[in-house]
Amino acid sequence: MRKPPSRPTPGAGPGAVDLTRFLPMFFQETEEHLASMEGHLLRLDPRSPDAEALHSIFRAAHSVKGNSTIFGAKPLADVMHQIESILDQMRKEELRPTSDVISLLLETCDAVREELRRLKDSGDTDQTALQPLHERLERLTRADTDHKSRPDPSIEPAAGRSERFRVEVHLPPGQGIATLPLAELYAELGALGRIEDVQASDGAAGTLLLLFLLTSERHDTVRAKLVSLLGTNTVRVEHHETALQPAPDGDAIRPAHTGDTAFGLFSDERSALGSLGSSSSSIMRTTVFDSTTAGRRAVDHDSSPSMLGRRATDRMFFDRSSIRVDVDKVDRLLNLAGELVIAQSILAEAAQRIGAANDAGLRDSVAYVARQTRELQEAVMGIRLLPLDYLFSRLPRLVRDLAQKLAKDVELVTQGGDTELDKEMIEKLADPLMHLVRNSLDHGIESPQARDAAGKRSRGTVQIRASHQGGGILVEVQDDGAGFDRDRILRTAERRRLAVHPDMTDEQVWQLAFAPGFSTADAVSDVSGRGVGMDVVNRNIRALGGSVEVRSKRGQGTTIALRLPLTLAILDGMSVEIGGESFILPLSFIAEALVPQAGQVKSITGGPRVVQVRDSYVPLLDLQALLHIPEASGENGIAIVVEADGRQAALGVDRLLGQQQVVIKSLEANYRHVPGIAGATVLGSGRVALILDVSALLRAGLAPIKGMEELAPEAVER
Amino acid sequence: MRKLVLTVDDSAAIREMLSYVLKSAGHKVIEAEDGMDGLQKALSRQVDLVITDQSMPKMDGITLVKALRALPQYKKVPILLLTTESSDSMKDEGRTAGATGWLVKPFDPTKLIEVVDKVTGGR
Repeated sequence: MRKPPSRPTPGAGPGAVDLTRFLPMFFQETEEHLASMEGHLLRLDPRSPDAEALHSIFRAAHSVKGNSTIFGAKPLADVMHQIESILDQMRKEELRPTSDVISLLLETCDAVREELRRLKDSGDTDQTALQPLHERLERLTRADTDHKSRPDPSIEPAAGRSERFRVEVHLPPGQGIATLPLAELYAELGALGRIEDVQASDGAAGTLLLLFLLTSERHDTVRAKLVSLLGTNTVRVEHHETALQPAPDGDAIRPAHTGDTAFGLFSDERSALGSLGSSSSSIMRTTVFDSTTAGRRAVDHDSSPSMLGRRATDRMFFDRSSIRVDVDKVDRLLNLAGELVIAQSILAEAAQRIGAANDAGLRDSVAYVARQTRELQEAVMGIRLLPLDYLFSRLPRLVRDLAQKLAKDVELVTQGGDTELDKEMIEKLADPLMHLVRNSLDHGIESPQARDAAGKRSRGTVQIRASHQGGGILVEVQDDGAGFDRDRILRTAERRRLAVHPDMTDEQVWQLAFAPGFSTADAVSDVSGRGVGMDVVNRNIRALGGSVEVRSKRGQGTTIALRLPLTLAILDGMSVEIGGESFILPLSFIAEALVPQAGQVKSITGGPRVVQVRDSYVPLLDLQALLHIPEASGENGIAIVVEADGRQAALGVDRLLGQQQVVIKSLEANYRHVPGIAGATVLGSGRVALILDVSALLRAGLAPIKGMEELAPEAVER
Repeated sequence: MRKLVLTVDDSAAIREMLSYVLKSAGHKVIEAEDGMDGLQKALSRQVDLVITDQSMPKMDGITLVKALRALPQYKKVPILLLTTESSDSMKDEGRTAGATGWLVKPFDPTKLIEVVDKVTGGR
């Protein structure tokens, strides 16, 4: 971050320090608090809100409020202040967190997040943007104090709900508190829950240390832990029966800015403080962060642009155990590691050529370099990996909003959110995943009535699971809804003149759903079913080098499995030779390879050449023509059957050179976009090999084939 | 005079900022991320001053003040509450708990150092 130009500062001391550099941290923290609020709100049980959860939401709102005053964003601080009041009413059981209330609070989180973004980008907030929310929140707090909607007393507290305990520690006279194993005691209590109050008193009967604990643990658990630490005679644990206490910081529920003093000492509140505080109190809040903007020192708080200044867009987030690094730097490192892998394989080949096998020293050191290079590359790639929770954390909100809109009762279960995946992959997976979840809610899960009628639990479940599977990642979206309707898919396919026959296996029928523009939705809803569904999901996942698989059972539900490689930087490929050139075919597209016998390749008059693969015929594409390779020396003796966008074709190649992992280099970045080519890589020999873009080749190759247009309407796009 | 200050706040940004200001005034700083953490650190090492946030997980600031005041070695050590607002109820609670004074966020670095010097009897 740029340092402010040095200029003589009056009373140059700590006051002259530039505190704007802490701003990005505050933004980051505020966003985290908002996310935490949202998470707790989504999990809140309206019938029996958990005291600890309410407290966490309150605290998060309080922190957002505090940070907003640091940004000088009063509107944000004000709505957060209202949320505090609402939470406070909930804690006192004066207000019930109904679904409407929770929705309003979630909406507020969104709006505040939006304002923060504006603040970060432009350095200013829209003073009126939050006004409508402000009024709605205001109405809520007022309406509900008028007629208090207390929770139904007949509802039993849910299991795991937190309770308050009064913990008494008695010490005989003469034995001070210092004799207690205090560190252990507090550590134990801290592990059990939250300490809400501590009181100590000395008397003739001895010393009493009184602690109030809020915990979701049971009475005997709490007691057992403390007794084992302090002994039976010393400690007493009782339920603390008083109702929920008012907010621990009562200040929070008062008007946000009362023009109070910025600091003071309790000993000399009315007297000696003058020189220190009260006179400068109104300036205090604003001068703090204005050290870089001399002349603003006496500006009133509300009109102050705060510490934000113009440098708000600087992004330098960091916390205690991690550092935030620009993605470009990581990518450069990754690129260099990739280059090193290439250099290493060139070295290995050269060593082999000069006969390293006979020189143990050379052989060992080449092997050592190879091992270290691989480890370095893996470690660097590891930097770019992020847990899938980044995506999963958006889902509860999506499911909640959609379920409400569709009047369905849906439970979301996520599993394996700690599974890590390349950052870019995670970003590209977001849309397909959201789409699948939307589909599950819209078309999969039935209405509660329909589920009741079918003898199912009226609440549907959508499960998202992620796990490591082989060298890649498996992400599954499973619902217990109606399942795919085979007949309906077949009817729609027929209407769209796709090739169908009644004997198709279920798997083949499900594949039809991936055809471009395919949608069985009767009416186009604004949730999904706009006909840009599964084919887009399929294409996006394929583009990531992955695959999509459908399992569905009528009446029982659907599972869509996405298989993905760990990273976009490395590809499992088959190295092939065509017309004397080496090419890489991504393994994820290859179905099989075969050597066709003389009678298996046929030319249809006026049509394409086809090759017989078991009992069906697959178009055989002439790669040499498609790739404009002049030398027609190859014999095209091997047919590789590839599959992309639900279509199959065979590619004729001369030789299979072997399977290998290759580091992908962008052709566009280094040269220009070449149709049919996805990228390039450097082989161990030092030669460059092009990576084939199978989808594009199929589109180009199948377009001129008569009768295929209907299958590939997008082929004419290019 | 160089003092050992314990700062207690669940916001890493506030902690960093406090440390930065205190260290640039020549003090040494120990950081804790909530009341419980602060209490443990105060128990393991005698500090000259505690500056604590109010609203925190595990244990809030007022409770930390009470817990510290229950310890003989912290009966007289100055404790400042660092709060978002300074309302009368907060002041009442703070005074009753045994805090020495309060500061409102966002704080002025110069004033912070002045208050620190005053309560620790330095300069």
